[in-house]
Amino acid sequence: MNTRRNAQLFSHRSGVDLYTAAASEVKRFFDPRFNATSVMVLPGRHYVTSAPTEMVVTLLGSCVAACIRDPIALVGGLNHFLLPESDTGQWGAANAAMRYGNHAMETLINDIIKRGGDRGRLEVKVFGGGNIIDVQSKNSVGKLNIDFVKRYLLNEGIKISAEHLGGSLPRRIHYFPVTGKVKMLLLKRHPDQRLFNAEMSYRERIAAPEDLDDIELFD
Amino acid sequence: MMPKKILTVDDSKTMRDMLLATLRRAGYEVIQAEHGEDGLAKLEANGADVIITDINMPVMDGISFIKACRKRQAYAATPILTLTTESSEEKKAEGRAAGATGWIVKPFNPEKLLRVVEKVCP
Repeated sequence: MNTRRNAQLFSHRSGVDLYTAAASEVKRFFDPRFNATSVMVLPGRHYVTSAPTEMVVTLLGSCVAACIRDPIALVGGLNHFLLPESDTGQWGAANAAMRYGNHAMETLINDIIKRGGDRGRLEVKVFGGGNIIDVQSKNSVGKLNIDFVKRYLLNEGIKISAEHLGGSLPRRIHYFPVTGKVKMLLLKRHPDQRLFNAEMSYRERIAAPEDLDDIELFD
Repeated sequence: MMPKKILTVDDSKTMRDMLLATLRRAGYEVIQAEHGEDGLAKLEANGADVIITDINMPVMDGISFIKACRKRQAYAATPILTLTTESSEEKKAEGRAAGATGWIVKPFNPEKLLRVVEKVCP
């Protein structure tokens, strides 16, 4: 039993926190081409802002990114995730893939709501899910990620206002949450081996996702 | 024996779906609500042996919901577990002060969640 009725209930967290990005981990620099501060979101992370000068950038292979904002509250951001390969099973079966994907979406949406966003007003654009790793496979990792994000948003009653999904090329997304504008670049296949490597190592990290195991029973 | 009743309160349908699947599999009867106010109405209509609630929700958030439950004599002692993405000590202290029985941070592990529910279930 991992729950104990005492003060030190918080079990050890695994080395890499796959679910949330601390502000200190965010890489940002001024990009004169866009006249904006570029904030890079790495696999497994998300970032939310209401700064009109910020542009959120991410590189997607078979991962997906949901760009979500509230156009009235002018706050938004994006996540970057893929589902771990796990027991498949029914939608709602609470398997590891579903819990992981759900968490990636929920933490982003909650951060937007906490900064004044309204769930009923969310504008969503989705990208990624390219078939870049296992090009031969029909049921590629990219497709599983696309299916998940679409099913999730449908289930939550949130409409997709724009999408660019699938295909076999990696993408670079530049998202301006305050205006909602997205600039997407389709990249020539693996122009940079680092993208491929980063995604592979992310896949390996989440192959057996550990739950945070943060349970506390109060006295 | 009648199955124990669990009220789940979460604004995300996906979360409600996952909780429903997890709890039903363990033999619980599940009642679902979308936010605190809906939770109070479902509680009045159906009662509950254990309540599992999210914290960040529209209309009535989890903290206000817990306080409202504790004000009602019938639910003053009903176990209330939070299930939330919030993991800060401040929020936990707020939940504890409001009268929460326990605090579970998402993403949840179904087996561990069931063990906690079983432990607090009267």
